Amino acid sequence: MRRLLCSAVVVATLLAGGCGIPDESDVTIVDDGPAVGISVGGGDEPPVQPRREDSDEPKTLVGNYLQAAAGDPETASARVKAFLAPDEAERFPSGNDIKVVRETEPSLHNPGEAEVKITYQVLGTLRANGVYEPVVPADPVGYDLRVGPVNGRPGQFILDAPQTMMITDVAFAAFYTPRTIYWWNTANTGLVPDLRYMPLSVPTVQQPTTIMGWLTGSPASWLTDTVNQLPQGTQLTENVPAISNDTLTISLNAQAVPQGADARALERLRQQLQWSIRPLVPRTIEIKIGHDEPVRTDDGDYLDTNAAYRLADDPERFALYGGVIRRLRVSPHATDPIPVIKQAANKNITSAALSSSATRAYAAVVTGSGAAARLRVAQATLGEQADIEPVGSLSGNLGTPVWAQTPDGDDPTAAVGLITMGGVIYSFDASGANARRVEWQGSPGTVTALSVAPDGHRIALVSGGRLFRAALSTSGDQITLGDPERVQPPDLKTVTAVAWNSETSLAVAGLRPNNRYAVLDVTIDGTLATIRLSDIGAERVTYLTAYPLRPVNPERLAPEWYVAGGDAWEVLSEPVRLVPENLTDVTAQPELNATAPFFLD
Amino acid sequence: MRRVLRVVRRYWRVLVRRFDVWLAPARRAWRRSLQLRVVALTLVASSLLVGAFGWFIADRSAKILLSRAQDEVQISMRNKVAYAEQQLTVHPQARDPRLPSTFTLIVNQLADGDPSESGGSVVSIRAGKFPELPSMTSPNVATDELITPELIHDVADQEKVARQIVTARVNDRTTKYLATGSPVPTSFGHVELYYMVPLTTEDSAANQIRTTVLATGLALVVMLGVIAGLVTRLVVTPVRVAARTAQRLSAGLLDQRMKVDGEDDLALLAASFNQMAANLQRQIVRLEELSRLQRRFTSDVSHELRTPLTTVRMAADLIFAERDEFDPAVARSAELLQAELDRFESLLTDLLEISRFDAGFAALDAEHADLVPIVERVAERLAGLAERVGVQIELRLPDQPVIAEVDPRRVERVLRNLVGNAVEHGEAKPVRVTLESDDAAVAITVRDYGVGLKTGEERLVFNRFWRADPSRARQTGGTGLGLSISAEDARLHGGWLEAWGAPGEGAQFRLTLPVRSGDRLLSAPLPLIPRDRAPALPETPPETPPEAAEPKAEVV
Repeated sequence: MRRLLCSAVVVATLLAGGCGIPDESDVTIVDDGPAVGISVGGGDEPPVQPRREDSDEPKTLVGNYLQAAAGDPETASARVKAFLAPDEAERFPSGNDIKVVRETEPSLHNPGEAEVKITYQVLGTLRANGVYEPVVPADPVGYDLRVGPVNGRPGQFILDAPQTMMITDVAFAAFYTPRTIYWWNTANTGLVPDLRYMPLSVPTVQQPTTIMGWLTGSPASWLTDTVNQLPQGTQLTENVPAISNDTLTISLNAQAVPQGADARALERLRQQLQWSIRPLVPRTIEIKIGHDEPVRTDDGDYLDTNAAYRLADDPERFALYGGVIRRLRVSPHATDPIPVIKQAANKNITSAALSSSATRAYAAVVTGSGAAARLRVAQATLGEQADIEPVGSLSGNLGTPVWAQTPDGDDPTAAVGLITMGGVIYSFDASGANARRVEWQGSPGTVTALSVAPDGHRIALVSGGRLFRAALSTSGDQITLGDPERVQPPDLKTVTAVAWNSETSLAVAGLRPNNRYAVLDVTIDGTLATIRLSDIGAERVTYLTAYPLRPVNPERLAPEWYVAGGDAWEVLSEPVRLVPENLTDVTAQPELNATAPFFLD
Repeated sequence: MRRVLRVVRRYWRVLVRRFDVWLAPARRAWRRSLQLRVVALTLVASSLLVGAFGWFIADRSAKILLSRAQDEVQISMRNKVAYAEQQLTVHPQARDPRLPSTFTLIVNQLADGDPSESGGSVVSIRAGKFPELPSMTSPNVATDELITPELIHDVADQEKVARQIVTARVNDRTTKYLATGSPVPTSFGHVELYYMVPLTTEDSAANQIRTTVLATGLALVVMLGVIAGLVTRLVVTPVRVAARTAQRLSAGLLDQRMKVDGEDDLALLAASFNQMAANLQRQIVRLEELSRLQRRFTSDVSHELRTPLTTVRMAADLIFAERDEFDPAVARSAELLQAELDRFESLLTDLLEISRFDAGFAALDAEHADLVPIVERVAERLAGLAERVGVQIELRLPDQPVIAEVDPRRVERVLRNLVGNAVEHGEAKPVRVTLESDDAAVAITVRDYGVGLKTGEERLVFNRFWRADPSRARQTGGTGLGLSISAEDARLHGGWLEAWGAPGEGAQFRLTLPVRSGDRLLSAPLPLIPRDRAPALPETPPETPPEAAEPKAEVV
């Protein structure tokens, strides 16, 4: 009996407690940890950003303060607040926009006093998405920043500062690098560049993630009507991992390619992406949409989608000599005939524009002068020539024509050219149909110079001595110009001529405050100027042309020519005059100068 | 302390005693019932067997379930670690301000990407080597219970992939989790990824298996017990029937038989039993018949001898009366004839008495009588003989009359016999007769100091025609049936006649009779072994225990 009881207890205990999944167990080591796989070297060390503790000297502290916001936009506010006294930091408005200012005078500080006076001019606003928006220049303002200690905390603090994040243009240049991202134009025929500024503090491995963040956001406001955004709701679902095995993997949510999207949408996305992440050039792009299988593309073609890539390294150069288009001797194909225009029609020309696509060439010439001036156009297959047709409803004070869009197809009406007549912009096509006035929102001034970017959708123009940029919208049957934004090239009080010299920069000629003319290369938002020629005399520059650089080798300087006082000059380390000897098939005539140089673009 | 212990011990003893008392019926049942023993042993053995087997199965299945879950988690963990590693490649520095947001993204992505059927899995990422980095968990629950310091030590410090089963309270539900941790290599060192999968499904499956095994095992044990009970009953019932039949047989019901069912072993047992019973019955009946014939023969012979004996007696008496006129030698013969005829006559009387007893014709003629005068009368009658052999009869009688419901004739005969024997074997030493009585019984002892009885003879003395020494001549001409008749007389009264004797110490006979006829005797007022035997004790060899030396008293 007792045995029975005992064994029953034993069995019950065994069954109840001995088996089943235990409540707790010891730690079991399964395996060694994974070996370190991808190791991305730090490589490029970002510039060191000064901190508040670095200096107690008021002027230096203020100088450091004016660099604090530069860098990662999400933590910019925290960096700025670290400089501020706690109660001031509490009042400091949140927001990620940073004002870029130029200190027009060095900061002033009387020893022993708390105030540091800064005088600055706001140049633009740097948004969190890297877009820099220039503002209409205003007069410099002064501000007294107060510097002092805070109870119980070591070091000096900024006790009073403007209620906005600001960095100097010097810090802007030091802590940011320009990056171009691309958007498809509304007709999905080509990419439109959009200039952004990336903090140098972003490690190389994070740049694709940052760029993807920009691409899933909105384009710069002035391009909104001209380009297609990614579909609404597109989001990066995870970081873009470092490139390994020459493969870049991008994961987007399902909205990136919505149901019923056109079949090339994913390919376009890849091309847009590949252009945007340049100079990173992984061989393989892997795009994962939602929970679909990733789509791999090895050595996918994308370069041609950017019109700027199709530009020549060494452009064909032309100039007018005595109303006739002549090739320059240094130009490639110097012995070839003039494209499109027949020998007989090549006369009495005052300005001309030649453009070519992959299969066709287009010509637009202004003949005659004064009231008799006419615009004539022609188009032909490459190597062929055609009669030039007059364009109706244009006469009188005509500017230099430019070709904005030159399609490959055999449809002359699809081409878009622009010309000013009496300071108003007109558009024309290659068929000789009547030119139409380009609608321009706001109050248009007199346009004196006009240049179209290689993508054909962005325009730089000069009106009333000021430089503007605007987007050209050709998607509807109407060709319209977006609201022009004023761009202030540094150090020029009057702008007289402009030309695109790369996909994101302009060559600008204008009058400096010392009343001398200069030629500058500025970015499309007016920052980061390179002075090409600082002083070319007091003679007004009436015409400027440049052949944009291809985006694949941006280190070079673009070929630029300007016309001042009737003479054409090439912009080199110093201006070099274009003399008739430089032209082919020309016998030099005294008192007759080569003028209006231009490129086959 | 000792007192306390004592108290405890006392209570323990009391408890044990109570328990024993309480358990006594069970113990008795255990001793008596073969069926109970077989069933109990079967239950014990089968529960051990089924328990061990069930435990083995339940344990194995739980282990299999667990190992499958572990394998799945490990594969999933490998993918998760690869994903986290890939995501963390974008952070070359631990102080990267975007690292926490990547942590969040990783845990959210990994927790979301988890198949929903596993339900409630928790993903956590930590950086043990970088205390300034926050740990992130998705869904956002406290992980203190889920991720134990031992696991952290193995993963963060030893850089091993490790796992542990923990039970934790998450979202107000206590759940078993399989926590797996793995280091994730990054450019700046390594962080740790923890993946906690609830084992709810596995646990409930294991519990179900366990419950099923337990229930099945219990049912099996119970069934085995029932089967054992039934089978045992099948065997035990005929055995019990056989036992009962045997009991009845032994009680004299010779015509009891077992029922024979079928042709199996038990039927064979029953048949054999019945055959045995039949044989026994036949034998017993035959023996009874034989015995009856014998008794009848004795009785008849005695009766038939009586008539010629009477004639012979009359003639002998005549001759004896005229003996003086004869030749002395003839006279001597006449005397001898007379004596032998007396003996013959008393032998016949005794034989007839015996045969009456044997035939069951002896009847007790009980009446209330005083035993003291009976004893005195017997002593008186034998005084002559005693005087002749030089024996003194001492009577120790109570002063008051000793009244008992007895047959005085038979009691007198018994006493005459006993005292006569004592005188005969007294060797000129005194014979003591003692009478004593209590509420229930009367005892009379007759003590002599003669040669006594040898060991074993105290039983033989009551046999018919028994002699202590067959070669010894009879002085008194006893028939050899006296003690047998006395014993029958005592039995007829429902009393005892017992003898005690030791060589050289004499003998003592005790007659015990119930005061009321028909009462059952329980004890005697006088001891069988005489009180005066004490001085003789030292003479007994020391190595012999007194009990062994005591000749056994015979209860008749």
